[in-house]
Amino acid sequence: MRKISQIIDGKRKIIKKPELLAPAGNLEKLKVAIMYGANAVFVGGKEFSLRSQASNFTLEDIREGVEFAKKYGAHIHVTCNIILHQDNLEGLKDYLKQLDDIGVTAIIVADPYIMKIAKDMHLNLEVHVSTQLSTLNSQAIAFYQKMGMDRVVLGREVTYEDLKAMIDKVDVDIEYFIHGAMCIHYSGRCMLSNYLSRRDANRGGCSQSCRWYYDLYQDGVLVNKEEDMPFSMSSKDMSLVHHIGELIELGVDSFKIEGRMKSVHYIATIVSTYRKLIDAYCEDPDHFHQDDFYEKELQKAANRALCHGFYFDHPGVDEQLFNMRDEHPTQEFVMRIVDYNHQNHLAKIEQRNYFEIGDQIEVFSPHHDNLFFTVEKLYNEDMEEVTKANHPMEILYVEIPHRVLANDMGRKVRK
Amino acid sequence: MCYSKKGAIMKLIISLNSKQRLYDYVSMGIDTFILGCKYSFYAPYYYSLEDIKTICQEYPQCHFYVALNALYDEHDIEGLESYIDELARLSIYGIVFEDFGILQIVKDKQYSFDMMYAPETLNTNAMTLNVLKEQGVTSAQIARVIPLEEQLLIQQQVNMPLMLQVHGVEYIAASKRALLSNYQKASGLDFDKESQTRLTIQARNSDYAFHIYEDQKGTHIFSLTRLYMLDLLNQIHHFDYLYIETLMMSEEEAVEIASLYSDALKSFENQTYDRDVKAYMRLLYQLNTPLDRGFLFDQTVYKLEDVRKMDNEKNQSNH
Repeated sequence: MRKISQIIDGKRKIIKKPELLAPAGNLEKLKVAIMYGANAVFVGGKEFSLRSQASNFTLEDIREGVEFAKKYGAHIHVTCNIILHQDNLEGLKDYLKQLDDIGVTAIIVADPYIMKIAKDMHLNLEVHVSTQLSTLNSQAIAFYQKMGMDRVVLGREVTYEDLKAMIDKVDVDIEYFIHGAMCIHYSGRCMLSNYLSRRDANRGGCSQSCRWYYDLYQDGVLVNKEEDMPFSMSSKDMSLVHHIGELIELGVDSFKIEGRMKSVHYIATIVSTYRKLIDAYCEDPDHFHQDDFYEKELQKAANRALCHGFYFDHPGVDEQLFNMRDEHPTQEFVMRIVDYNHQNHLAKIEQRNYFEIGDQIEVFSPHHDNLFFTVEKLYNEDMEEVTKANHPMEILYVEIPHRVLANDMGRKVRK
Repeated sequence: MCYSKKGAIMKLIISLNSKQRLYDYVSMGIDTFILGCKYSFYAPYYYSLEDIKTICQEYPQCHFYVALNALYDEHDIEGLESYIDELARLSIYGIVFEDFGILQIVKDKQYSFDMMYAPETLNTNAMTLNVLKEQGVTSAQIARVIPLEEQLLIQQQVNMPLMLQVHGVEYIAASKRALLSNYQKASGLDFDKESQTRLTIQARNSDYAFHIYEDQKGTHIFSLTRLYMLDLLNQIHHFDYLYIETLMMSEEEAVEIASLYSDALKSFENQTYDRDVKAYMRLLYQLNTPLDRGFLFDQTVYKLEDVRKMDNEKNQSNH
């Protein structure tokens, strides 16, 4: 049995706090994820990694990421999760050795050959089994355990009940998805992209063909006419925000947030929300009351409608998107705080999206509650008063009545 | 006789879609079959344990694999363990699987089945298969989504029997979700979602169509066309098993296809294949089924830069 909690000073506290694992497509996102509360960040290298469209990391980037993470006691995991073809074997050992030398904590692997090589090399880094292998049961986990694997990332099809049934049967770390996009088919077993785009889904080229629109024919006769809803195989994104306490009580080792291709704002919002939720629950699990703050926060960065995925059972019609893509960030990321002068209340900011005098801004942070202000005074770098912020990444000064901190972020509140 | 590189006789292997046709296949000299069962993710027919027992007893000279070819949930495991115990009491030859949980159960119980690893999409290099051999895999099916050239390289470098699909519909994707039922509810449209062959989907702006159907295990997508290699025996004759997927075939088509490949193999053994192949191909065309080469002479791209390069080359050739 996993020991989850213990009575401390007459109050039950969680002593097995799960790792919060966040995605990052570049160094900026990696740093933001860690500053906003991730215990670990997973990134893709230039080789052997899926999500080739994510701006993958060079070894130098990974080195910088590892050094940054160390300052926060955080860890870097590197995905090496392609399914190898005959011509992808070259350079693998050197690459793994370099990752190990850099101080990467773990590699995430889908191909048993890489698993074996990594273990035979006696590296310091851990080897984690990727979700690409769609691991759904304790016997499959036992197989990987006997291969020396340190952690298994479960398939997204694992329900809460199945997770509960298996978690005490296994003796490796278990990583479970709590937030992000979902493959509609079994991961690693979908060749739609290969056939429709000639892009290899198992080597980082997935064209997300499942989310396309399809004509449906029965006996050669078109079923869904132009006026009908098009057929699609598009899933809503998953969010287990209402079930974090249950998952902590099970002793899940790592909570994974998906989305290496998502924005800095998305990562900051999602990571900080789950960080606050996990910390609040662990501090006093028996008196924890979950209000709607967390869900509302997540909605501010949601690209798609959210659902429970397979948490309860098979996702039904309400967990899919058909002709309503529902891509709806409700608030727009407009600024990142660089510095704050609490004498004149001027915040030095980096502009991220258009805003102007009169806009209402919500500032969020890993360190304090959300703050609201209306833009009344705005200056350029030469301290000339301006009325709008319309140059990407421009340094500006804005008057904020509340004390804010470097790396806080500001979103425009929709009117 | 026709021998694979390991010295074994190259064999046809068929997913059995009709018990009644077994005699026909055996008469052709085919002696290795894959049987669907209640734990199969997909199969042309699902046999009961009693059926499997009877088949094994009636044809003791044949090799029968049972398809435990799903990814199994935790709540399936107890039942699966008992089922594998039952299979061990029958004289089946092996298990076709894709979930390493199945391999682990068989290893723990020390059963001596041939364990054929057939994960549809993952067997794409030789080194990995050789690693899996160390872990207890005893034979494997090569992935279809790689070119023939790579399949042949793998065949040369792997030290266990390999199966290559030579004919039949190709697996495309599978979901645990009831995608057609969900769509039916959302759209209000009426269609037969359970028939394996009535429904097809075609991506808008694409020429490629797929079969789609749904059952209790989820949603299954297969190619509309049948992969064929009847005219490629000169290239592929070193494989141990040439597999005919009879899913979505009528009994008659399956028998015709088996007969053609069986005759072609005999012709190959008699060194008359080069002379006869055109006649076989004519007979294949007469069946009037949609045929395809899959990825045999094509390939996917690895990186986005390669996609862009490919797109540029296409654009340049269009000008």
